[in-house]
Parts: sequence; C-alpha cells; structure tokens
Amino acid sequence: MIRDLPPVDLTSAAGVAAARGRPDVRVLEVSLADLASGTAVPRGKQEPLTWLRVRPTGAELDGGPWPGDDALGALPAAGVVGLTLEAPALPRAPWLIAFLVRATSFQLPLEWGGPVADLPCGLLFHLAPPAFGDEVAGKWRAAHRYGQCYWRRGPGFAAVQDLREDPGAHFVIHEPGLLALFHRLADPVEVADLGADDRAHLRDLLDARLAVELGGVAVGLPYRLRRWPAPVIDF
Amino acid sequence: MRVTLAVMPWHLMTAPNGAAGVLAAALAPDHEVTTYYGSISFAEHLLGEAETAEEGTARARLLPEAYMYVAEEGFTGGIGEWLFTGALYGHRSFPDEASAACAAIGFDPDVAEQIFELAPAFADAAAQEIIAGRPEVVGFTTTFSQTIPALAVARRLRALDPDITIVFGGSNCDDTMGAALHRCFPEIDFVVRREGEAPLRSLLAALAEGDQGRPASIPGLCWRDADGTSRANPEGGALPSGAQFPPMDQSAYFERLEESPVADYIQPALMMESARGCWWGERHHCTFCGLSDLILPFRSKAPDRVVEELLAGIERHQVLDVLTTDNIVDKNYYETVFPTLEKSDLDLRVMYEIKSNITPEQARALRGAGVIQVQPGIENLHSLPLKLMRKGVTGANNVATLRELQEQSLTVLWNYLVGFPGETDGCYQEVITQIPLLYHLQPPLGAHRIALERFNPYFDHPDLGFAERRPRSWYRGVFPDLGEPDLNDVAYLFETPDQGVGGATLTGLKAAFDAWREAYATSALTHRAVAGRLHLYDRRAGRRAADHVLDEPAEVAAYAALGRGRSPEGLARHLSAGGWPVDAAWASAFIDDLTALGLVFRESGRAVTLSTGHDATAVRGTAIPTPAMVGAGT
Repeated sequence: MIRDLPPVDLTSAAGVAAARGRPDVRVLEVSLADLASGTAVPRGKQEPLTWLRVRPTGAELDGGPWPGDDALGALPAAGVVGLTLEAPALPRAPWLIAFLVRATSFQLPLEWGGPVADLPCGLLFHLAPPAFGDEVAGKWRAAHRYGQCYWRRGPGFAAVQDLREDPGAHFVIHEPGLLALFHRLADPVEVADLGADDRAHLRDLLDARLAVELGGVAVGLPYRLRRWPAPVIDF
Repeated sequence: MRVTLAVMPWHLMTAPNGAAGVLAAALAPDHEVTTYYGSISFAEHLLGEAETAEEGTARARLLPEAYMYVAEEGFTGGIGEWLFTGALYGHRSFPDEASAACAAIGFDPDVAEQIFELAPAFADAAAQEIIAGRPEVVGFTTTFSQTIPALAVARRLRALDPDITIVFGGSNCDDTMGAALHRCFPEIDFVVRREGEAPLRSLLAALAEGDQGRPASIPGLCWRDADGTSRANPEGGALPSGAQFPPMDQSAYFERLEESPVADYIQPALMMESARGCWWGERHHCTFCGLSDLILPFRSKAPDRVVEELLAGIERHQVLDVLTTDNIVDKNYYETVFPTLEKSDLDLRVMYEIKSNITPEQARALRGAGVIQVQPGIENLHSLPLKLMRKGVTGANNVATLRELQEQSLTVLWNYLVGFPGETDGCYQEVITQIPLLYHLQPPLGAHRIALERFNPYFDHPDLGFAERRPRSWYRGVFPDLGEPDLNDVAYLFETPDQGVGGATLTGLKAAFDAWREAYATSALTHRAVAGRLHLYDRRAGRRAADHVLDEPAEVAAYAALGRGRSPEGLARHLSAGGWPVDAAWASAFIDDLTALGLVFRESGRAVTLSTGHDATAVRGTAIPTPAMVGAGT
C-alpha cells in the first residue's frame, strides 16, 4: 500500500525542519570543521535528505578551515539538499567568497546573509546570493543568474566565460604560471606570499576582474561549471 | 594539384564544415589544399553592412544571428536557396514566394530582402577571392541550403577562368540529384557522389596525370564525354571503413574565424566524425529517415583513435565544445570512449545522436564523459507509430529514456512526428492526456508531420502509403529553368497529401506541448530510498504537491522493475523470478495504485515509472545565458 505524507518543502531549512518525525528528511547541525573534514554527514546512498545548519565559530569566521572541493562535492550524493550558514557576523570576505564560489560550482542550495554593502558586490553577483540582509543583498539577488561567470577545465588551459557585464568576455588562460595562480586562487592567498611573477599574474587577473584582493588577500571569482542546465539551450 | 574547397553559405558557421575537414585531410598528402569559408565571409559581409546602417532599419539587423537563423531554420522552406537566386540568375526583385516562406518561419522578409540584394556582390567577391589563390580545381560542398550559393559562385568562376576545373559534391549531389545538377549546369565539370574521399582522390589523380579515360571508371562520378554529354557512372563503390576515415582537419576554420569580426558573435565548437552510417538503419531503415541505403552500412573509428583525435583537437584549438557528425553513436563507446573521457576530468560539452532505449549506466556514462546534449531520435511516445517507423523501441521505453536522461541532467533534443500511414487518433489522444505527467521531463522541440525525403523507405516504396508526391514548390522557384523531370531528380524534399491523423490532432498535440514547455521549469517528480523504503516527491506543475512512500519491499522492488515498461503479467513474472512471488492480479493492482497517483505512464499495455533520483543540485529550465557579444581575450 502506498502511503501519503504531507508534502515537505525541500528547498529551505525551515521547510525541512517543519517536517517532523519523518525518516526521509532531517536537519543536521554540524560544525564548520566537520564540514571541512568531510565528516559532517554519513556517506551512504540511503541517508535521509538532509539540510545542514553550519555554525562557524568566531575563529573559523576569520580563517576557516573551510570545506574544499572534495568535501562539498560529496554532499549531494549523501543526501544533502541544502546548507544554511548561521553566524553572528559574515565570514572574512576572501573566505566567504571562496566558499560562495565552491557552493555555486556545486549548485548546493545555500542560505546565508548579512550586511554585504561593504563587499564589492558588483563583482560578486554571479555567486549564490544572500537570502537576507541589506538593500545591496536584495540587488545581488535580483541580478543573479546561473552561468554569469565561470570557467571550464581544458588540457593545459582554463576557458573563462564572463557575462557579468555587457559585452561579455571570453578568456583562455593557458600560460602555465598564470594558469597555476588562477587555480591556486580557488582558496584565499596572502598577496605578501607571492613572488614577483605571481604578482604580475595577479595584476592581470585583477584587471580582468577574475580575482579580487581584499585586505591583502586575493581570491578567484569564476566558479568551475560542473552542472549544465537541462536544457542548455532555450526552447 | 592546387585545390580549393569552397564552403558556401548556409553552412552553420559555429563549427568547421565536416565535409571540407575530411576532404582537406584526405587530399593533403598529395595536393595543395586550401579551404574557402564563404559562410564566414558572407556573415562578415552582412555584418559590415549592419554596422554602417541606420539604426532601426532592416539593414541594421544583418547580424550573425540573422545568418544563423536562416542556416538553422530555413532548410525545409528553401530560404537559403531563395536568397541566392538573384546572385545566380540575375533576378532583381525578391520573389513573393520567398518572402512568404520567410514570414512562415518567423524571419522578417525585409531583412531577407536585404540579404537577397547583397548576395550578388558577395558572390562576385567570393569568386575573386577564390581565383586569387590560383586554384586548378575548386570543389563545392553542397548540403542543406548550399546549392544555389555554390552555383552562383561557380558560374562566376567559370566566366573568370574557363580552365578551372569545378567539382560539386555533398549530400545534395547524391543519386539523381547530383546527376541532374551536372546535366543542367554546364559550369559544373564533375560531380562526386556519396562519400567523397576515394572518388575525389581518383579524379584529382586523373586530372594531374591528364588521364582522360579515368573518369569513366570512377564510381558515382558525373563527367562530360567528348561531345559534352553529361554521363553519370553507377554509384556503389566500396565504402571506406572506420579505419580509413581521415581525421577532420579543423585548422582552416579556426584560422579563418580567428581573424574575423564574426568571432565576437559565436562560440565555435570542434567538429568530430567518429562514425558514418547507422547500425540500426542497416537492419531496419527507419521509414522516415532520409539516409540513403548506399551509405547506411555502419562504420566507426576505433575508440582510442576517437579519444586521441578529440583530445588533440581540444588542446590545439582550445575549445571544449564538440559537435559530432555521426548519425548514431557506436554502442561500444559507452564502455570505451566515454569512461576514458570521464577520467580526463575535462569540462567538455559533447553532442551526439544516440539510439533511444538507453540504460541508466549508459546515461551515466554520457554525463561522465561530458556528452551533455543528445538527440535520441525519440519521435513519438506511442508504440504503434514507432512500429510503423521501424524504430525498434516502445513508447514506454522512450519515456524511460527521457527519464534517464533527465536524471543525468542531459539536454534532450527531440521532435514529435505524426502522419504515418496506419496510425490512429488513439495513438495521440492516449499520449496527450498523459503529458501533464511528463512535465518534469524535457518536452520536444516541436510536433511535425513527417516530410517525405529522398531515400526514406517511404520514398523508395510508394506502396507504404506515400504514392503521390512532388518536389516542394520552392524547388521550381530556385531552379526556374528546369523541366519537371529534372526537378523531380534534383529535389530532396517532397510534398505529399497528409497521411495518418488529421490537422486537429496535430493542433491538439502542439497545444499540449506548449503547456508542457510552460510547466517544465517549475516541475519535478523525484524519489529517494531511505532505509529500504522509497519516498516520492511530486512537485509537478498543475498538480497539488504530494509526498508518497512505498513501505513494503515487494512494492519497492516492483517500482524498480517498472523502470522499464512492463505489462502486469510481465511485472509479475519478473518479480517472481527475482524472489518476490506475486501474481498478475497483485501487479495489476499495484500499477493501478501508481496510476491513480500519476506516477506511471501507460501505453500499449505497459506501464513505466517517471520519477528521477532527487538531486537538489540540478539546474532546471534556465539555460546558461548565451553570449550575444563576447570579446576575445587571452
């Protein structure tokens, strides 16, 4: 016999939380450290659909550790349907940006927000937008669309498509030093640690608006396009 | 010999021309080959006009997107051919019939008229540019709407230099079509028919050696004897095997594009050829398919060669999008090429035509390899028309294919075909009523009555139902000097009285598809197995949101088994064999329960499930913004 259940809203933390006493959905509170180490969620194919509530500590807001590609990438198969970043303040900007780049890349639904007016939002609106915050947060949400600034991996090159502005721009990054720095900027990098060549490369990326430097720390802006929409073309 | 391969409008200039790429590679060892991309040149020509035109005028809209619209949408109405009739015949005014044909496909006749007026000057320039290279032989490839543009330039070449040898080839030259062109257009010296590498090599060798006798023995070749009489050698020479296909030479295209202002408007893709013919069609030629029997034998390249060429092309031209010319993918590739590509960890976007009827593993392999856009030849969701088409697949399994492809977030390009002799209205009504159940799967691009094409089994066998036929009316317009027999020989597309269901059914189908398109972006039907139970989440547009759960292991097993279309008896047999002793009555009741909840699609006695694995990261219904204007930078 096929049973009916009240339909659960799987698209928000509140929706999942409201569905009580069901074996198929749950909210899990996890630490940022667990998320980063990949131990936040049991990795099984028959795990419930899970919304994660992540509460970084004050120290973690300042410098992580934040989850990398492997840790975030494993979440969907483990049943994670979304993540809420709950913190009294926004994480330090370069780390927030790196996290948003990854979350956008994996298309993991993300609830986050706060006072974003001090961030260079004109460079960031291609990233998963804040769900709440100030007026600028609202503009970010309104301007956001999937596919506005991304890169794709080629053999020995990265092809970047930037449609944040009109006209857009297409870059092929193939010079080895520049390409290496571009990849390195998936995580925040202290500019002071860079050698002369890398500083020149960073200048190029900053000029092309493919990276941003905040408080002496640089981070890359395009996300790796891992999910194509279905369909990729308009009907 | 010095050979120029001419690729004229309306080649889809977003990728290298396949024929030119193959022939350039085949001829390069023995001849000096250049490729003239008239498609890109013409688009530049139009763009130049647009840039100096007054804002708001038709001329200001002669942008690459206008070129692409004609190239992509204009074939069946002969639009591209119409647009060059002025250049070929000297007609001054844009014919009304052409205007109407443009309007019918949503192409502004005023813009079309501008193109028509600019075409003659372009053809002059094209001929001059080709001549400047001092070729001894100029080969024109003609597919889709390239014939009249090619003839326009050929006529000018002939006038400029009587000694140049002019050769035509391509899909529009197969069979009687090429022979008719040869007979009716004296500027064409030779026509090469079917797969061109071998006959063209033989022809060039004969010309180089001054061997006047050889043309008479080259399979398929059209040539002129000493009296100037057109002769057509029988077709049917040996077909090259996969191992003999040369790798497509893409460099001429990319070099040409690099220096073009048109590059700002398009995102070029690589063109790959990994197979010719069709392994299904060899055994059962789908009745509406216009692939000639002579080239149906399926031949494919070895898997490692495919991977090697693909990766080499990607690395060389720094392009990650790949189109393929294959009519159907080699089934072998699911276990060879695709897993290897997946390991490369490249962000490819590859397009392939595949047979419908794929397994979940095959769909996964496609996604892993980056084959994220497929044309699965679905055509219909009811088994009777599919049987009439000889597709070798049931309606239920076509729905299963749509579901598997959706689960992997692959883009599915498919059409719905109607109009088969022997179909019934029921075939369509049964589907129309169930379309709302499919809202979370990708809808077809459109519903069309099948068109009679040369080489269809329907064309070759009038007794199958399409006895009355004549060339589409536009052929008379673009070949005004041809008599009826020659028109019948030169045409590829034909008009026929409608067969099968009536216009009202087709209209109903289109309306249902319009609703489907509207509903798709907001619809989902997903499942998740948790601790042995199967949970379902129904969020399809037009229905109340609902969650369901299958608690009993037998039900969970039955639901899984219905991933392929099964009858109640078939389901019971399958479950019993798998250790679940149930009878057909149980199976029937279970299927009815699923039906009441809209969880299965049913046709021809079979039911198939519809839900996809829940994936919160799937990006639905919002196409990636396509760059309208993208500047290049490194």
